[in-house]
Amino acid sequence: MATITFEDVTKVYPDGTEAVSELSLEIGDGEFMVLVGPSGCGKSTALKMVAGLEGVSSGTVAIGDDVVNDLPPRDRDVAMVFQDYALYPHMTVFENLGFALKIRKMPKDAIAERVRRTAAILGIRELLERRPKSLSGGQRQRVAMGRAIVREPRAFLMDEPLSNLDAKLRVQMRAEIRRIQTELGTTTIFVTHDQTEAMTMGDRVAVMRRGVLQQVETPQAMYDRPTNLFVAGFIGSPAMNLVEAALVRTDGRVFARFGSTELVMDDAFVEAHPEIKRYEGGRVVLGIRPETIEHERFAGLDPDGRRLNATVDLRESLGSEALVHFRVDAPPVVTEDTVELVKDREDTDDIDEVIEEHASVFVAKIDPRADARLGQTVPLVVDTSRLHVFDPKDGRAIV
Amino acid sequence: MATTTQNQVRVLAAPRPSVARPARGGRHRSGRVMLYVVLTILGVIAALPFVWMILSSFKPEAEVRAIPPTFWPQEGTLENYRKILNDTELPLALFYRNSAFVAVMHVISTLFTGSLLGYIFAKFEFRSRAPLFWFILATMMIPPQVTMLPGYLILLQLNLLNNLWGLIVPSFIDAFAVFVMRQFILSIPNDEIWSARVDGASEWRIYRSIVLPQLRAPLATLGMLTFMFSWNAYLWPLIVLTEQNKRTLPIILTWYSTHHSAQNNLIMAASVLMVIPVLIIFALSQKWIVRGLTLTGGR
Repeated sequence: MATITFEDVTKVYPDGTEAVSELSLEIGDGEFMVLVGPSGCGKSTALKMVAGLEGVSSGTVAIGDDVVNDLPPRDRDVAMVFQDYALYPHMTVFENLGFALKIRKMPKDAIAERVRRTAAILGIRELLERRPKSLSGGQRQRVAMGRAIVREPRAFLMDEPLSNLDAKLRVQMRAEIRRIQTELGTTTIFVTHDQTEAMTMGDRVAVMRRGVLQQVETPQAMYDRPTNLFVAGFIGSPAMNLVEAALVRTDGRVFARFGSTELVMDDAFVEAHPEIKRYEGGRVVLGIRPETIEHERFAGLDPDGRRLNATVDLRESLGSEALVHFRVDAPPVVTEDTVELVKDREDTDDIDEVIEEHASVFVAKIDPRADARLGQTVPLVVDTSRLHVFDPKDGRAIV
Repeated sequence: MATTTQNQVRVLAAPRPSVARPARGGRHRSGRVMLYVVLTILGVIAALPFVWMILSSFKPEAEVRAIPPTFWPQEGTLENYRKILNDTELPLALFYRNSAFVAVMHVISTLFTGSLLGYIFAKFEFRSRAPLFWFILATMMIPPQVTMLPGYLILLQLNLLNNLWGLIVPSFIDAFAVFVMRQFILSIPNDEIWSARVDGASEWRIYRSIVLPQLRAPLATLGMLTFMFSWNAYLWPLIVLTEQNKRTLPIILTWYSTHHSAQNNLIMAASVLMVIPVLIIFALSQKWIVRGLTLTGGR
């Protein structure tokens, strides 16, 4: 077991692309750290630098007390699980699991013992004589995990290991990987582009964007206090509703206005965040989590100054709750951050359409008993003590 | 009611396939018959000279020369083979040995260098990788006749004339083999190589334990082709090996035409003797090709 430390690590490819910029991050002994971000954010590159599969342009990568910048992969004592599993197709499951041990010249019976023990942990004992070709996706994934576990390395490096599984299996393996990691106590870096995976698995989560580390926090703290617009929009599903609003102080109270909506900010909230004062009379980006918008009947809050009238565009019933989509008559927030988020989420480059419509689409997570049918105008209430406020210029969180 | 419906369904359903099937199947079958007819004709044309050679090797000299020629031997005889095998002037065993040595060394060196260089060109990034690869490919475009004289002079300087190694060393690296191997190795996912690297394997170990075992099919094919080319090579060995006892097998094709006027019956028998090892190798490697395909295919 060991810590893993990045210190001002930069990776520049020969063509000049800077994949990772001055990354500083410490992963504690036995910690499960998730690196998350949209594709091309540098998370996989960072992982490969720990494995030794990519060189470090500047800065240092250390495993335990050893700086490993110039160490070849085989001398780093880390194990890696790849997205496509990278099982050796010409070897049986047993040979796949035992390969690394065989290279280390471990005696045959010791190898057999360890392989069998690992297979037992993963429940793949009956697959040992099969070849990867004859295994299902989930079984291959287990074998790939087993290949890492069997070595008892100083750290596990996992590069999107669940992305090829179907949704149900993914959820199952998520829990299983976490269980095994906790049992073994092995330091783990887990790379994913799926924020749900990041939130559910990580002891801490590191969000990256374009090679730059945005924030490192425990999942809950990151959800509650995102450091900027990008993290705010990236973490959470459904995503945080963002809208540009004017901050106005009238009669000693602070109002946030967007379109025809006017929310009164909670007094205690304003007092707790004195920085808001600087933006009075100016514009901010207001962030509202879907679960802080509720139907008036179930909100348990005084609707005065908290009301948001919505015409339902779409209703998704999830049983325990209902997601209501509606348009707000205010322009969407168009910054580099939000554009990238939309691209990532919608998997499209054609975001002009969204912007042209000149309306922000909001999602509210409301009580399923609430009467909110398609096309109906519904009285919603926003919990104004749980708002997020961002600087519209640099996207930094004010609150 | 229910039974009526069921019966109706059965009655309605039953004839349909029997009406549809013959039409579809018939068209399918006639196409297939045509295909087989064409393939059989082509196969016969391709095999005819070969069959002719074998049949002629069992004919006495007079019958071989007879006009009109006979197809089946009228009086089959093993005399031609007996004559060749008992020819005291002809060091047949030595020729076999020489040819086998050269061919086997060719196969080993070509497969080794081809797969190793193919691996390097497929999976390692280094400066001037592309130009170097194109340079190696470009050597395939040069007609072998052009390099014969310079090649001869180099071998002369290296003291490798009249030496079997003089045949082996110049073709130690085969551009075609490098190209074919590179193409196959490209299809092995990088992740597998990386995974082995992280697992602690040295580059040599990765080549040996991860790359080579996945190349069984192409190695078998390439090995068979290399063996055939080497075994059949005539002109270059004739130039490099001038001493009688250093020669390779194809020389026996001219043994009975240059020294004692053309004795076609003996030449045919000698040809059969020469071809037999190639057939054996083909049969063996064909089995490997099939096995190799079932091991690596469908990944």
